[in-house]
Amino acid sequence: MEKRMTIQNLCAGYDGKQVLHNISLEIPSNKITAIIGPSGCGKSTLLHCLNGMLRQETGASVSGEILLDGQDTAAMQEDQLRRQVGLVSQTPSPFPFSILENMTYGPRYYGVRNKTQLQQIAEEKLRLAGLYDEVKEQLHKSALKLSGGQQQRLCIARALTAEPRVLLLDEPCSALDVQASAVIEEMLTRLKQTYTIVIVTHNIVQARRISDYVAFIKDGRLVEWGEAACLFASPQQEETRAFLDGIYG
Amino acid sequence: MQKNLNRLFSLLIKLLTALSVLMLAFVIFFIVKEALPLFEEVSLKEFLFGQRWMPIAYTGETSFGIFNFIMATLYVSLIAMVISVAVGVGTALFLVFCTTERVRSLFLPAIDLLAGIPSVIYGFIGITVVVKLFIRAGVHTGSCVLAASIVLAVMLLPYLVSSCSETILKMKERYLPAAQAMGVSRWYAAATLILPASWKNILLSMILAVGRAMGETMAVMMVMGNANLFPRLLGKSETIASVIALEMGTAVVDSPHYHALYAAGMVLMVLLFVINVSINLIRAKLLEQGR
Ligand SMILES: Nc1ncnc2c1ncn2[C@@H]1O[C@H](COP(=O)(O)OP(=O)(O)OP(=O)(O)O)[C@@H](O)[C@H]1O
Ligand SMILES: [Mg+2]
Repeated sequence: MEKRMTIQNLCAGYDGKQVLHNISLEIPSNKITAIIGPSGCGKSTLLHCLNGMLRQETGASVSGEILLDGQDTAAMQEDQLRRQVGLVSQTPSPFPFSILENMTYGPRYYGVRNKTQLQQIAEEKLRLAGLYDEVKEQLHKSALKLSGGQQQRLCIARALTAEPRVLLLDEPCSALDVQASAVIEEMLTRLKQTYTIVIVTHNIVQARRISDYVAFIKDGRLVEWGEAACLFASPQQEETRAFLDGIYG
Repeated sequence: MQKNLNRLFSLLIKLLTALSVLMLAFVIFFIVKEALPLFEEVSLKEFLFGQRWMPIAYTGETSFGIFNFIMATLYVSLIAMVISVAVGVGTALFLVFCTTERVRSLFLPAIDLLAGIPSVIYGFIGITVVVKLFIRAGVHTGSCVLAASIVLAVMLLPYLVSSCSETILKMKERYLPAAQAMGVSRWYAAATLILPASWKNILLSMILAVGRAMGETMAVMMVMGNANLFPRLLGKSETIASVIALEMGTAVVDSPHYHALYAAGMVLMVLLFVINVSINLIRAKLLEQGR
């Protein structure tokens, strides 16, 4: 198993209140790692640590080590880290521009000026996100007029324009129906050929369907993590078992 | 019982609405009625485009041309708007991007307080500070269009700053995390994402500010010199509102002078109406594009 990210003894908190306790975890490359756990246990906080966002927040404290391909992320330049580790947040936030402008916003900032090149990037990433066929006729339409599921996929496609190595997704399907979720799940399994994916989800069934590795967090502590098949079939910890049983009813 | 009470209440509301509409209609009717007799003496074209304002025949003939006043009104308002929108948006950006929540919660109410200062005070400060500065800078009497625009801009600022900060803060919270997650820097996102996203609401604030700018009388009158001249940045001039305020008290009732002042008021009303409608149209167009 090749590791993309290694997290060692990570502690994090807001305003002196510790939220994450001593988390050590590995993120294998080109796999989907699902993070599950009860609401408020610190899943989003963990994602924000991974892309360096928490370090910048006022009042937040982070300690421990996070390595990206063996490189210490604390020593990396912030914007470089963000480009390498993309994040799509819980609520989709398409920019109030056209679909095409949403897709070219990042590349233009990174210095791509050529029109056809920009168009190419947009098309390629929209295809990856499985959105291109739905919107190819209306690339100049406002992104705000897309449906919720389409907006979520647009945001994923937009995150891909930064050419990240790791893609963090915070509950991408929380507001979507079964069908729209299925489209996103199908897309994610396709994306893992190129990217390493970390997904936070409330939906255990979904985690079971798509993930290769699972980490279970409770009250800010990593209870258990490992290959999805093993963990779901025979959880080693009592807490994990209780959580999974609780969900299954 | 409950039903009757409801009916009574809705009747009362309707009555009050009707009353305020009626009052507005009455004001418009009254102004138009008092304005119309003027046009038996001067043509509309002469009135709007004439540059000679000689309401009383001391020597020679009377003449009623308000072109200079119209231009002065537009000019002062335009420059004041440019100054206060630029400063207001800049201040809002600073408050949102460079200060913390605590500083903002201290500053914004303080800025709102400025809105409560009577306009005479602004005019007074205009005379003692702004006009003095212009005299020192070599402008003949110090009173000029630019001085009036500056004073007016300061008067418009509180409202613009508080409404712009509100909009920009909202847009920042909505879009900045997503932009930063792509490695885009704060200030690039501010300029290319958050400002464009706030633009519509800033336009709306501008509509309300324009109304205030064009109708503001006292402070402008105190620093603009009040001479019937075509407005120049460093020259004296006089707005429609100033003419009305200065001359209405001495105009003989039912004289052409009296009717001319009403007609000038009517022109001011039409100007404001046209400007508000066109800014609204622009805004609707922007909304339609979904930008
Ligand atoms: N910006 C913040 N400031 C202070 N405390 C915060 C902040 N964000 C999160 N917290 C606290 O950190 C803890 C973990 O929050 P987090 O958002 O990581 O939970 P989560 O596992 O993502 O929950 P959910 O599944 O409901 O999204 C919570 O107790 C929350 O109150
Ligand atoms: Mg969360």
